[in-house]
Amino acid sequence: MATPTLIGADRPLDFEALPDKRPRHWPFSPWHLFLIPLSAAMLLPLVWSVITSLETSADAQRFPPVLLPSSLHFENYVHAWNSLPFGHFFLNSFLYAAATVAGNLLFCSLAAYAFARLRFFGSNLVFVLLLVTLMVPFQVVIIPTFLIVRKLGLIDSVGGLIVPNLCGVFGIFLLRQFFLSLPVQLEEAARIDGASRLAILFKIVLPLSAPVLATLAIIQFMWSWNDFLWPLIIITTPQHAPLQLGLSMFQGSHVTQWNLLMAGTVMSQIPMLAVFLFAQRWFIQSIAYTGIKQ
Amino acid sequence: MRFYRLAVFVPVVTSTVATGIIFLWLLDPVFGLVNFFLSKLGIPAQGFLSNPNQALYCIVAMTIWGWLGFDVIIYLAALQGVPHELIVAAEIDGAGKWSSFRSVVLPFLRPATLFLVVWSTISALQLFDEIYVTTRGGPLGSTTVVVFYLYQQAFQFFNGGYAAAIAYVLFLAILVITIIQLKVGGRRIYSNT
Repeated sequence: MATPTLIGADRPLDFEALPDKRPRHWPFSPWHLFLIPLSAAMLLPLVWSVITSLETSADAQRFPPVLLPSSLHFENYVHAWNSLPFGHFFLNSFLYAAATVAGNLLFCSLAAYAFARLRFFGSNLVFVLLLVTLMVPFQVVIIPTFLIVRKLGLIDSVGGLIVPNLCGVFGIFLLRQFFLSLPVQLEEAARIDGASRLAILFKIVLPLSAPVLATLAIIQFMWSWNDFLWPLIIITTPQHAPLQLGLSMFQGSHVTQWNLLMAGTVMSQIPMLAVFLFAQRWFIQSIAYTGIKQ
Repeated sequence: MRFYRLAVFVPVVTSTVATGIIFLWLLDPVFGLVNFFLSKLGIPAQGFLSNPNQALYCIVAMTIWGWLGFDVIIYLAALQGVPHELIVAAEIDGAGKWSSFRSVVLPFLRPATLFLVVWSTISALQLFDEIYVTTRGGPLGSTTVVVFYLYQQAFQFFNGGYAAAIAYVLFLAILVITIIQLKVGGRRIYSNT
């Protein structure tokens, strides 16, 4: 999936702690002169897509463009929603993301705990081999993965999306590093009290690992939600497509209807954006902690 | 500050497909907003993604928009690691804002910079979604990047063996480039800090 790093891993991000030393003779920090145009440039594409999504198709196809529509046409969203099975897209994406998050949390925890605490024959070798696969780009394994998924009879189904992504090496590595940092005395005490390895993992180690589990969950959720290449390859029926592929199908069927296309695009981004706005700090810490985006 | 942060980070959670569609619209040769701004400046309408000489640069601009927030997050995290005492010490020693930034802060950011160079190179070599959504490798093959070519060979022309070979060459190229970057960049980190 991607390469982990440990930049900023040892402490939480604290934006307010950054030194603020603005010169006092300006009424405002001169940085604003740089930041305001930058923010405008960053937000412009999104703002413009929202505006277009509320215009009539006549207004959208006009040059010079209609910057402020005289009336707002929310029915574009209804048209977009009804023209392709967007309900299915959202549901499939949600299933895909939820199942891969659950699978990664469970299987990566089990594997990571084994690599962190158990000494078995070849454990180091196996771990190194796993790490090596982190460097192999997904494109290298895409054809064999496709053949395996076809043999499993999972082509063109949400199951075919989920199964290859149930457990990732990245998650194993991330969790193993965290488990290694936990005090081993706690586990030894539990063992003396007669707890099994599994009980230790589920009752002691995992409850202590909430932050790193949340990080893995956020990263995996973002990755699955925005995944495009793999769904594109195995899914052909619109009813089985996750959101990004569905959006691309929608694009194919509405090439020149920019107002509808923008309505579909905006609609498809709303859930992720909403989650991000609510949990911005968590998202940013997770990205900074792992050095990973989609 | 909260607003600026949001403005820079929001593209990170915008999906690559949505990014592609939105930029296709912004850069539309006939109705696009960018051509409107250019016309205000007296510059004639450009083809952008439909012009073989411009399409790749449009893809670059689009990916920068999408990836900038990620780089900012990594640098923000790295900036928290710069010990404030060192900056204060440098200022006591008479260093100005710029020279304390250049000689104290920048060296501390070098690992983050190296990481971002390596990461962005790998991501760029693996670019696919944005190409598929916007140009499909065209016009005239001017944006046919490696992974898109691989996809065409494997899943449109069904040359599975050739596509697998492309994948391994890509892997080797990424490996060699990464090793060179780490060697060159790593040396700078250890000799200068």
